[in-house]
This record gives sequence, C-alpha cells and structure tokens, in this order.
Amino acid sequence: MEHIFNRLYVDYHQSLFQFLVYMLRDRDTAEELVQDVYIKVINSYDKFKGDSSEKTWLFSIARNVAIDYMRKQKRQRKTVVGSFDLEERENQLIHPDKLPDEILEQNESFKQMYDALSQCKEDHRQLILLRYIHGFSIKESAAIMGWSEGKVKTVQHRTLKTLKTILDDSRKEEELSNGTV
Amino acid sequence: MGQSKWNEEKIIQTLRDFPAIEDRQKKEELFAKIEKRIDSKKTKRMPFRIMPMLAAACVLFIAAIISPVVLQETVFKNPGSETGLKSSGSPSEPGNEPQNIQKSPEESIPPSSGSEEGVSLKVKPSAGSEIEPKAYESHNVTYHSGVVEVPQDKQVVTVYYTDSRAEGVVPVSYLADKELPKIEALQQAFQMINPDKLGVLETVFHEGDKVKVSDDLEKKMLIVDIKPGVIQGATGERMFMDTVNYTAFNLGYEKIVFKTSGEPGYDFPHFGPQDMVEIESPKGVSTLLTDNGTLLLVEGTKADGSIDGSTLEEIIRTIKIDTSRLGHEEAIQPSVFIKEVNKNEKAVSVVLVEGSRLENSIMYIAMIEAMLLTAGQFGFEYVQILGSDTKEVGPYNLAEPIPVLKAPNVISK
Repeated sequence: MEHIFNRLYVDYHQSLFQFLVYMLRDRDTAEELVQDVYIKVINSYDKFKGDSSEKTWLFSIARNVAIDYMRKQKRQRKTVVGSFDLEERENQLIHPDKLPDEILEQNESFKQMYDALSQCKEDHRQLILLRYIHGFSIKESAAIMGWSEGKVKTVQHRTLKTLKTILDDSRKEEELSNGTV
Repeated sequence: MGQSKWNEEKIIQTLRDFPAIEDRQKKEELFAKIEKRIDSKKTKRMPFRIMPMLAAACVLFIAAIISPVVLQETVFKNPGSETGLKSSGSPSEPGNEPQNIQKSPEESIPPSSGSEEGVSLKVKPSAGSEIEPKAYESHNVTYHSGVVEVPQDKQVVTVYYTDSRAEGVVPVSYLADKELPKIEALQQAFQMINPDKLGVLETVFHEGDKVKVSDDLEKKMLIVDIKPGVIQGATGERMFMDTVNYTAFNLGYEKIVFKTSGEPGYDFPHFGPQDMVEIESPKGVSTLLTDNGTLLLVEGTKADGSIDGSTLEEIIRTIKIDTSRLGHEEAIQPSVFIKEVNKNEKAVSVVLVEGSRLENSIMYIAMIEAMLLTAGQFGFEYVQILGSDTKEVGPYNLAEPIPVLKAPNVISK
C-alpha cells in the first residue's frame, strides 16, 4: 500500500491537491478530501484496467470525490426551486471563496480570474481547470468529465466566452466605482 | 471607457500561470492519516466478536439464495420474449410480478449471476418499494425501471421534475387508469409521486395552490393558470417551463396556453409576456443518481442549453451511468462497449464490441433503458443489441429486439 501511495504522491500529488483546492475553493476541505481520493485509489488499484492513463483515472476519482462532497453540502442546504434563483443562491451558500494565500500574493489579474472562475457553472469550471491549469488534452478531459470530445470543445469555448464577459463586467464595475469612467 | 484588457489568449495564459498551491501536510503525515483510516475501516468492517454471527448469517444467506423459491422471486422476466408476453402480459406491466414466470432454477438465474465472479442476485426487486417489482435495489441505490408495454387498462402520465441542482428535468411516470380524463390522471400522478423520496424537486407547476391546470382536448391545448408573481428567478422560470413543456408533450398536447388568475397571458420575469407556446419534444437522455440514492433517467437539454450529442448515435454513446455509489469508481458508459449504431426504418441496432459482457445489474438495466428511451425520442420502435456475451440484463432479453421505452422511471403499480 505504501509503495503505491509513494509513487502516486511523487507523480501527481501537487497537481491533484491543486485541482481539489481550485475545485472546492477551500484548502482545508481539499486536505481532507485528498485522503479520500488516495483511499479510493489504493482500494481499487487492482481494478485499474489501464483503459485510460493513470493520471486521468486519478483525476476522475478526485472529481467524483469532490462532487460527492459538494452534493452532501447541497443536501444540507436543500431548498425548493422557484422561490429564488437556485444557481445564485448555491454560489453564495456553498463556496466560501476564501482566496488561497498563493493567489492573494499574486497580482490583481489572478484574483479577478479566480473570482470569475467561481462564477462559472461547476462542471464548466472543472473543465477549465483540467484543460488549462492541469494541461489535460481534449481527449483526456473528455474521459475525466465523462463527456464526448465534441462537448468538451463546445463547453470550453462557451466558458472562455463567459469568463471574458465576467472579467469585462467586473472591470467596468470597478471603473465605475473608482469614477474613472 | 477603455478597451477590454481580456481576450481569449490572455485568459488562457493567466490560467496557465496560476500559482501552484502546496499541500501543507507532509507526505508522511498524510500517509499516516490514510493508513489509519484504511485500518479503521477494516476494523469496523470485521470486528472479531461478530464474526461467528456473520458466518452464520452467510450460511443462511447462501441457503436462501439457492432456494428455488427465492430464485423464482428474484428472476427477471423477459419483456421481449414471446413466452413472457403470452404467459401473463408484458413483464413490464406493473402487477405482472416476476414470480409468475415458471422457470427452472437454472433458467431463473440471469446469465451473469451464475458467473465465477459471484455477482449473483446483484439486482433484486425492492421489497419495501411502493412500486414493486419495478424498483431494483443494489448498494442502497434504487432504480425504478421503465415499461416497454403499457397495460390496456392504463395510460402513462409522465410528470417532469427538476434535479436537485436545477440542471435538468427528470421524468417520473405513473400509470393511471385509462378511463380517467388526462387532467385528473395528471393530478393523481402529482399526488402519487413523492419527489422528496426520489430526490428530485418540484417547481411551482406541481403546486396546486399556485398553478391550476385544465385543457382543451379539441385544440390539444394544456391551459396553465398561474398566480401572479409565483415564478421567480431565471432558474425557477426555466425549470418551470421545462417541466410544463415536457409533461404536456408526453400527455399528447401540442400547445400550452398561459393565464394569470383567469386572465389571458402570463408575464414571466425573464421570458416576458407569454400567451401560448408550442410544445417541444425532449431530445437527449442522461442519468442521475440523486442524493437519496435513486438512479433516474433524465431527459432534455441541460441548464446550459446543451445535450450530450445531437444525433441518436452521439446521445447513445455519451450516456453515462453514475456508479459512484455502486462500488464502481468509474461511470459506466455505453461507448466503452459500442462498436456501431445502425438504423433502419423502425429499429436501431447497437452493435457491441466483440466479447462485451454486460452485467445483470441495475446500472446496465439503466444503460439499456437509456438507449431505449433515446431511440423512442427519435421515433424508432425497437432496439436490438448485438454482440453481447450476456443474454439477459434485468428484464431484457438481448437476443431479441426490445421495444422502446413507453414510460421511464415508473413509480406506480
């Protein structure tokens, strides 16, 4: 068990942990859940068929673990659709949006981007993380997300456009509040 | 106002340059926690003091499994086979319990259940279910299977709800008495379906004090009379429209007329004023495992307006069964097995990769029903699955063409 862990840790831990932090937007939760990921991986390592790459498999599991966690969170805050905008409310309730120190230390562009990502739909954000922060190919991203490659391309294109709109809007708001317009 | 400083290239570059986030836990510390948790799980699973009891329980369980009586109760009936249809009506007809089939114990065991892998009785009718025997249970996941043939004295009422993330609409079917007028059947379905139990959400469409429904059968119109101001938020509005639209479509209406407390038209906060809309048929099938442990087929487009594929083949290939609660780490996807999808006038044939061995378990029943539902959406009547080593999956005989699903996620007797 230890040798499997050691190898996975050396090869993927940094990337895996970062994926969970950006997905969950909470470092403490990511620290907890990364354990769950390793437990699942170690327990099912024998069943890994090699149909996909090990990294793809690992990230699929990480994604499922994070989704399960978020579902549980949502269940605790379950409410009825129709009385308010559920997407908006979920974003307010579930994600604490604590900026990781590493982001806080960066320039404004990164903070704006982090904030803009938070406003994207959950699975759209996941795809952007996989594609651009973790460098997975379209094919690998499709395997992790369980989507077709065509869908990955469509959602990727759409999300980049959404990000641009959000970033432009926040810039306009900032300019208005600073009286620079 | 200045030019936007963001373009696609800069967005991608910023993302690529995102700072690495280090885990503050040391490797040894992390491994110690993981090891402790794995060990504690093992200990919890096998406390020494319960071993004798467990052994006795296993013996009794094995004895029960090999009992012909139990086998008869757990056998699946084949909806496509002549025997099944002749003996007691369609196996998919509620009320035609599997035990009516007189099969030998050998015949009773689904092919994969007798395998060396010990997967016997992976699927069993849910004893406590309201819709026995149409609900299958495994690993605390329940699947309410559909029907491929509607009993002559029944009519299908498929009511749409939303998933808990308000991303898609979920059909839940109820078989009402055929002589009931459509609106009465719909109201009866509202009463009989328990969305909380299934893990789906109602919209105001389902709330009788806020929305009243009637119809004009001659003009094939469903009339929806809404109290002013009860539909709020873009999501609430979209989900309301989708649930009404698809429910109306399945009831055979062609148009929806909106009213506000008896007056023509309804002023939707986002869609604006609407008097009447043409009904659209749902396209696209996916699946959902709810927080309550119910596996459901989902129809239609998602919140972002997308569906997984636009053609029959694409949709079938991209169906994904969430198996995270079923002891499988990765989702089951038909694309893993499918070699090609062919169509003729009435039937779709799905050719599997040679040696594909589907399992006799609820996720594969769901997978097949998702294919049947998709084929039905595209106007086909049968689906033939070719090339499988497994000949029976749940109630389906893969050796014969299977009629498309007439009602998904059936929850009534």
